[in-house]
Amino acid sequence: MHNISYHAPCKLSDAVSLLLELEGSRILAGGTDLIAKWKKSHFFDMTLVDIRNIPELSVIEEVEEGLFIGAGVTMDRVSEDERILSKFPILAEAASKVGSVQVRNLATIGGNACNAAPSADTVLPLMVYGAEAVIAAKEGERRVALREFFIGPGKTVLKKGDVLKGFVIPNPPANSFAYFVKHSRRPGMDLATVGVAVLLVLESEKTADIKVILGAVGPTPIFVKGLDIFFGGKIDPDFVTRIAEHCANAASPITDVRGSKTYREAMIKRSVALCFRNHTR
Amino acid sequence: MQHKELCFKVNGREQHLLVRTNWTLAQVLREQLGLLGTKIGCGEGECGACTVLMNGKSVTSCLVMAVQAEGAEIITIEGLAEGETLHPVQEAFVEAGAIQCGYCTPGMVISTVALLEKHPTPNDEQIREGLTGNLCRCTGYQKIFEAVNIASKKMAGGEKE
Ligand SMILES: Cc1cc2nc3c(=O)[nH]c(=O)nc-3n(C[C@H](O)[C@H](O)[C@H](O)COP(=O)(O)OP(=O)(O)OC[C@H]3O[C@@H](n4cnc5c(N)ncnc54)[C@H](O)[C@@H]3O)c2cc1C
Ligand code: FES
Ligand code: FES
Repeated sequence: MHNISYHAPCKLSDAVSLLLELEGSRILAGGTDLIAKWKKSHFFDMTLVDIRNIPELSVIEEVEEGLFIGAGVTMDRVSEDERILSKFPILAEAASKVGSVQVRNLATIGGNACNAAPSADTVLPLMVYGAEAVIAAKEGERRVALREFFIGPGKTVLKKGDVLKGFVIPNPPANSFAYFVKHSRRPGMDLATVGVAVLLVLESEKTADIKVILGAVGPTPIFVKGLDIFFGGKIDPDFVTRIAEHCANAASPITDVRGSKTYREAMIKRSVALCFRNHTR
Repeated sequence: MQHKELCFKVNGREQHLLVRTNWTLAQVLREQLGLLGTKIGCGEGECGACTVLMNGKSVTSCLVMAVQAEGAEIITIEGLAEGETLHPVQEAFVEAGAIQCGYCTPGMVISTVALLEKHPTPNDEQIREGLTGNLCRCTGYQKIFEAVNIASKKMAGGEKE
């Protein structure tokens, strides 16, 4: 009990090797989920591979398709980076709503996804923008659409020896608008009761594409399917009511300390409607 | 029990310590370096009593393992004053009466230093935002707000009375 062995490799390939060699090893990034969980679960033994010294994981750089954000980039950087603010504003917004200043200075964007909480704030914008997870493994790199990354609460497609290297986010289409709503019990320091991210593409005042991701209302973040029935429409109050209803039907919320199932269903509708408010006529 | 050597800078001084790998930074600061100003409240990142500056950024030292501080520069509440002269933020807390039991104060002061670094003349919203991660069970926050505003003025004036 209470034993921790600690490794902090400087190379990504060394991290992968350590994870494969060391029995029961796990990655430590900002530690805001892992260390808190370790303390709440009676200080179980851990073999930690700290990724903070690996340079590739902390870069933000423009790539051909859009932007690469390293898994080790902290929330404070995500919320302030000029490139993210101008191209992917709701990602910066979501990062700025994680925990507190102190939490954002530690917490990484990769840890937020890998921890796989259904309420993870930055996952919603990443998914709605169509981000791919770049995964480093012994066999080389592979990419997985973030929409296929989550399997269940706390479960992802990552296997032993896999390190999430970062995300590639494609540039959003022209005439697109993105909205994020974090509905929580209080404005600061609370997990979402309901989270919504919307990407809306308009062509001559009509909807050309709509993507909606819902958080905290199912075992994983939910990519709402079947929204094509709303393409080509004019956004009026009736349209908003129907799409909000459609999204609520796609969710499977539970009752917990943050809210009841019924309350969450109502808040999904309200939050989705809020995302369309600037375009409703 | 595993140990590891840790080299880091605390309040401007180089430290070489043998630390337990299962100790947090808060524990090492308190138990090994005797810097008892850093408090441990919740131990889970919620209350901010353990806030210190790590490479210039405020962090909850109860969620940082000591070994993660390798090479880092740490400033605790003990590192703010210069000799007998208090840091303007500390002075402001005293002047405003923003301290009751004092348990939250070291963390509050460190978070205020970080806040004023970013927003030298913060509005109410920025103060609220900057101090979200610090809980106080005594003051009702009003005096703390006043202290932040006093500190902001002191620091803008550059004077230190
Ligand atoms: C007080 C407090 C408030 C919080 N508030 C919020 C909030 O409002 N919204 C929110 O979404 N979250 C919140 N969180 C949760 C947490 O801060 C975030 O989920 C954070 O982004 C986790 O990142 P980390 O770097 O700290 O992860 P860690 O704790 O280091 O790791 C989390 C998990 O992911 C794995 N992992 C990390 N990086 C990688 C990688 N690159 N590849 C593979 N696996 C990896 C780890 O092994 C671990 O299992 C809060 C936490 C605290 C303590
Ligand atoms: S003791 Fe660290 S945040 Fe409460
Ligand atoms: S003064 Fe007592 S907790 Fe703040």
